[in-house]
Amino acid sequence: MKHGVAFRKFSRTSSHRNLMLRNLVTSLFEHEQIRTTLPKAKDTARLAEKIITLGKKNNETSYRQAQAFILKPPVLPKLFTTFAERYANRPGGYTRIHRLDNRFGDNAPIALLELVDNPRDFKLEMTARAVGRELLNEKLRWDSPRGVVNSGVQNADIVVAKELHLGGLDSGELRPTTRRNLQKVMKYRGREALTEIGETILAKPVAEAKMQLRADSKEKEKARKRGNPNFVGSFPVLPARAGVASPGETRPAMRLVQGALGRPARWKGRHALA
Amino acid sequence: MASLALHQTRSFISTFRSWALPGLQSLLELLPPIVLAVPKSKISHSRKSMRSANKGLKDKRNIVNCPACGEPKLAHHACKACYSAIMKRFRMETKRLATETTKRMSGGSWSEVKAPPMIESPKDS
Repeated sequence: MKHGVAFRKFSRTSSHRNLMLRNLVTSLFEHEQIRTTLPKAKDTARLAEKIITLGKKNNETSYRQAQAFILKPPVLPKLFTTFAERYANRPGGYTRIHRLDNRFGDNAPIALLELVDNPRDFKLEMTARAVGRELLNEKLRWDSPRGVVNSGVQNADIVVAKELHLGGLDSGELRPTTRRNLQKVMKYRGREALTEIGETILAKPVAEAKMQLRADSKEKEKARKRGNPNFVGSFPVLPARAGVASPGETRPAMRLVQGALGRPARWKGRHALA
Repeated sequence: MASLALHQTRSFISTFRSWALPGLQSLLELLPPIVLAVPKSKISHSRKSMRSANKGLKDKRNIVNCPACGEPKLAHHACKACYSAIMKRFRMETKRLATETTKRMSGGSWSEVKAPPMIESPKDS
């Protein structure tokens, strides 16, 4: 039984285990973003947050305690200046874990452990891209793909600023999940983060839309002959990998991924695989 | 007949070893061969297949589309394509900053063209 036992053993002796975790925490403070196995990331996150709390306390005792824990001396001042400032208003939760794919050699679940609000915040990047894609989708409902690519999405920063104050059920241009992520990511950041979002926001979706246009020009005749008034139907499908959702796609991922098996056959009584 | 054989072996052992070696060897001598388990006939192809019917790979049902790039990804995981693209960009930025600082220190006479940070290369379909 393991009822109520808080820590993992990692198949190591206590001295080895403690040193391993100290090394991981030191590396996390040094690089602000590390990639390790998921259980190690979870234990490291727990320890790292306690050390950052020491950094926020900023007195003699906490300095000595942190000094006893951190293995690289150059990292120590960073803890008491950079991190103390960055997390001054944040009550805990200074780390974030993203689940990545499993490792090839041993199928170990790998995670990306990062300090929140660091210069290379992964969640900020992903949220910016998601916001950009959703604004593009919104535009594509009213505009042609060519028009959108030529004009781009204006007022992206205005929309983002508006979405920051909307609630979960209010109607806006973003999905509820994206809006929530945007609000979380922007909560303890200043105005400069908004401009950062604006810069990263549309690189990929616009490039994708351009590729669509290239494919579109090749299949122009076919599309005209098809004459499909449906929005998704009029957006030509790229010869891409299975399951990729082009901008404006509304069908669920499981259905896209199954391809032909996901489409119900024409004869009566035949349903798609669930 | 079997019991007679049993008795003989037991006395045999006791006279020469006086139970110095109990264990598997003596047990195997006591058990007649008919008791040891053995398949009676070759398992048919159909029975074999029936037994391994539930040993196949299970489908993944937790596939969703990445909200940023539209590629299929596992739910609650980071998108592979987005992760590698973002990390690639970070590495290039670090490299660019490193080369910029070294160039500044060496002070070469070559014209320094500032390469813009490559956000993303369009994917080849």
